[in-house]
Amino acid sequence: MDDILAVENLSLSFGGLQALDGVSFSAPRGLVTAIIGPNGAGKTSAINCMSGVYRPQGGRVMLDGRQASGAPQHVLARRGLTRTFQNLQVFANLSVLENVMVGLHAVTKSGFLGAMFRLPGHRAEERAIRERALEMLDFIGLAELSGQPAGQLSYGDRKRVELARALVGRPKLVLLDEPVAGLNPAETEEMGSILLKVRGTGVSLLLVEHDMALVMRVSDKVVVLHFGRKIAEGTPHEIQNHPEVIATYLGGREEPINGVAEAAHA
Amino acid sequence: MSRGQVFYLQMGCLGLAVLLAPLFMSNPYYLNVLNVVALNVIAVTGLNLLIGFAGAVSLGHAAFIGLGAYLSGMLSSIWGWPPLAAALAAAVLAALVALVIGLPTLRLEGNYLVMATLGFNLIVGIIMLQADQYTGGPSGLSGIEPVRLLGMTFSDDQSFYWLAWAVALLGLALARNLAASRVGRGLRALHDSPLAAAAVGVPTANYKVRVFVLSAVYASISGSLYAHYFGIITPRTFDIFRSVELVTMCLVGGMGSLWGGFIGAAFLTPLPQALHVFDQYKDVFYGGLLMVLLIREPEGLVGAWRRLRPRFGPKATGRPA
Repeated sequence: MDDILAVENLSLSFGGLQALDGVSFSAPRGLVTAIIGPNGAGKTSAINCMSGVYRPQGGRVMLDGRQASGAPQHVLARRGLTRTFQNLQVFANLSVLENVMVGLHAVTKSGFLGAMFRLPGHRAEERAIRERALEMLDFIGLAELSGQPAGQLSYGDRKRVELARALVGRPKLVLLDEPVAGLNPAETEEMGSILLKVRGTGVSLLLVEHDMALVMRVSDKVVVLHFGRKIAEGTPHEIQNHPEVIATYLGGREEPINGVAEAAHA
Repeated sequence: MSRGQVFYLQMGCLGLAVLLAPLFMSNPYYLNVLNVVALNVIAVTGLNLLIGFAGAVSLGHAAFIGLGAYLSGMLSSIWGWPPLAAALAAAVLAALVALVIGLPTLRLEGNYLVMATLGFNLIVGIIMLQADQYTGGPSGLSGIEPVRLLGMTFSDDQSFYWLAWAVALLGLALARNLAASRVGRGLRALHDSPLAAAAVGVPTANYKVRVFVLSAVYASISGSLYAHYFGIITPRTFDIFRSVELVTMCLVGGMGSLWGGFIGAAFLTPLPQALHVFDQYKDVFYGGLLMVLLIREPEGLVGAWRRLRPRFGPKATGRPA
């Protein structure tokens, strides 16, 4: 199978705490992969290793067939990997449009001197940046808010700004750290639709998420982590019926995993 | 009107004011004050790119002004370089020094640059005092040639006025172009969230180092012009208090707004003279005014203007440069 990302035997520890313990999995190109697991399972640690925030102590991450672990974040961004954050990281003092324009940093070039002296190449690039960012705002449904400072938006809109910023440079792979955490059911529904629309454009997605209904709706493949180890990997259907997953989530009771999400949302 | 058009309209108004101001100057001393304002505008514009856009603070910018002044002064008066070539060489050296300071400190989280630049300012001060066969020691370096260009000599208050303000306006325009570009957005983004900026491809440490180097070049040029204007320079002009004063100009005007830096320099440069009427209490008034201003208007004079403007006219639609 053609994988955009392969994680091989990844290990990471903080002092005595083993956050990731020999985790391996892969994310197929053009599809949606979800990592699930209880709190403290190592999901965000995995995302931070993949995106270059942490350097894993063991194992490696391969992005599109080339080693990615050890490279700094901004280099990975140029190689087509972007991400969103669990605790929102919008640029609060920049407008919505500017936030999305910054998202094109990795795929544009002009430097300090070109900008200061407004050289011809720089001006053409600025126009292209603005146009691409405006198209992206249309796609994600934020066009009307383009002039607003991003810090003044609602939580749900800020989540969408982050997603637009991650998508605008047409990356190969986007890592989404809890894309619907904190959203109400209607916003969650809409985010699910956006993610499926993004999948339709050929971008590979890898998300970490607690909302099982969303995971089952959008994912092609699910990876389950528990205490830093992978306990299952497969299609959403396989995962829902996997005995060890059911045991982990429900403490041994034999019940389909759909019920968990419903209970959590009640 | 787009933000770019608004900025160039504002620049045009300022340019016109600069052209007309000498007509209303009965006393040549006022021209001298305006010249010092222009020199401060140059240095503060560079510093504002660092503090207001990249979010890093330097407490040693007076030392870069001093480097520009002394190197340019020494090259021209001791080795006979033409003043402009001397100023250029000084700017290159200031850039290299900034690179050496910035590379190790700006890679670290936290404001290590503050400490490094503070120490740098003290060291430069000591060198200026001790290397007296070149710098003239405590009594300073004198007999520095004025700038000559296209057959003109910029030695008196009036002619230097044109030179200083031309450079100041050019410096503002270049800084504004940078701020409104891909690079400027990247800098403001890393100020808001370094993590997210890196995630979209902004090389955060590299950008901070570059903007620090750029701000040192602005300071150096300001210092070189100062040296060739006054003809005499002394170490005290470039001490740590001057560095604090420059940071204060950024704060009072409004960080992150290039007009803020301009307004801060234009407001604080003549303020000590204006407060002379209070005689021995002038420092109390100066300090008190700064305190009240920064407590009441943490976003500076530009922030106050933005807050009050809707009362006087149509509401602003965009965020000025």
